Amino acid sequence: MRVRTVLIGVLVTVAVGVVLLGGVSAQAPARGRGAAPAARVHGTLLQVMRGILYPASNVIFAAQSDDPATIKPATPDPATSPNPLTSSYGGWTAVENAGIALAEAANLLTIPGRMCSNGKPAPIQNADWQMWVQELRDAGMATYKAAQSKNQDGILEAAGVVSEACSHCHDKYREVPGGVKNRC
Amino acid sequence: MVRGGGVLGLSVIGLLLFAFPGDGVAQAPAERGAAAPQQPRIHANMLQLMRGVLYPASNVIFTVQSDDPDTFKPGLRPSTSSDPLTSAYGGWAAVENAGLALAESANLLIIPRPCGNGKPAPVQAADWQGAGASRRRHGSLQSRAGQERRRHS
Repeated sequence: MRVRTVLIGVLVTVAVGVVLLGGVSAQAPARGRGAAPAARVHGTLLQVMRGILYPASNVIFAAQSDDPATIKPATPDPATSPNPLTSSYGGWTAVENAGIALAEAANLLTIPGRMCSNGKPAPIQNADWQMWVQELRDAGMATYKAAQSKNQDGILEAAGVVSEACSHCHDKYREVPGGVKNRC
Repeated sequence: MVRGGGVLGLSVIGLLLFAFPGDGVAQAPAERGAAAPQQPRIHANMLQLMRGVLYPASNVIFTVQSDDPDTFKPGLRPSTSSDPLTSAYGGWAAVENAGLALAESANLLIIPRPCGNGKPAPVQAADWQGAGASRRRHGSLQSRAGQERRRHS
């Protein structure tokens, strides 16, 4: 009787194990397809700012004073111009692209593991951080739309939205007493 | 009988614990005032992303193949120069930043989004992910090269 009960226990254990393992194998990646890779952090917040957001913002700010339609492609080869406004996708297209860059770069500001330049973790969990990240997305897309309309007044307004979005976050996390060691 | 039932019960409990270890801990609520991490949001197709982030950063790197970054003079208003090489963070710092931009932009290429033609980008394909890893490596190398050069100049 006791042997039979233990045997049933073993059988049930094996059956449950098969079901559970079956669940695991169902999640294995299909051949030729990898599992979705996780985001990886390569730079501090400061580096991301200087690598993507700063140059993109400057394209937008330049369009406030210089009409993108009048900017001529770089010579001899616009395809490799380091200045987006004089590149193959220059003029108003460069302003559109800069708006996209801002909106998309917002995704990089919420990746867990991002550090500030002072080595402390960026406060990506903070509700105000996330609110201002959203403001950045909106500012980027406002620029994109204004650039599509090729209207410099529209860009003036959009650049104001960008400046404001930057200031809100910088005021709390960048312009802090104590300088670099305290700022994110 | 009771002993046999105990074996059965313990086996099932053990398997359940093995299958769902520490689940309750992983779902602990966030701290007060903290929000749940944001999910990425898509604003651009792959083509727009390329032209918005990767293309300008690559051109900074390509330019320094022929032009020494040390020879770039700051623009009239460097802090708002639209050319990274003549900006407030110009010269080799711009190259460093461009490398970093490439490496970080790889994170944007693995977010499911459409291609320029509207079809889904094959972000799950193994070769796509391999290319992303390569871009990260090259971006990081460019960034390090920029840092090295700055240190020795």
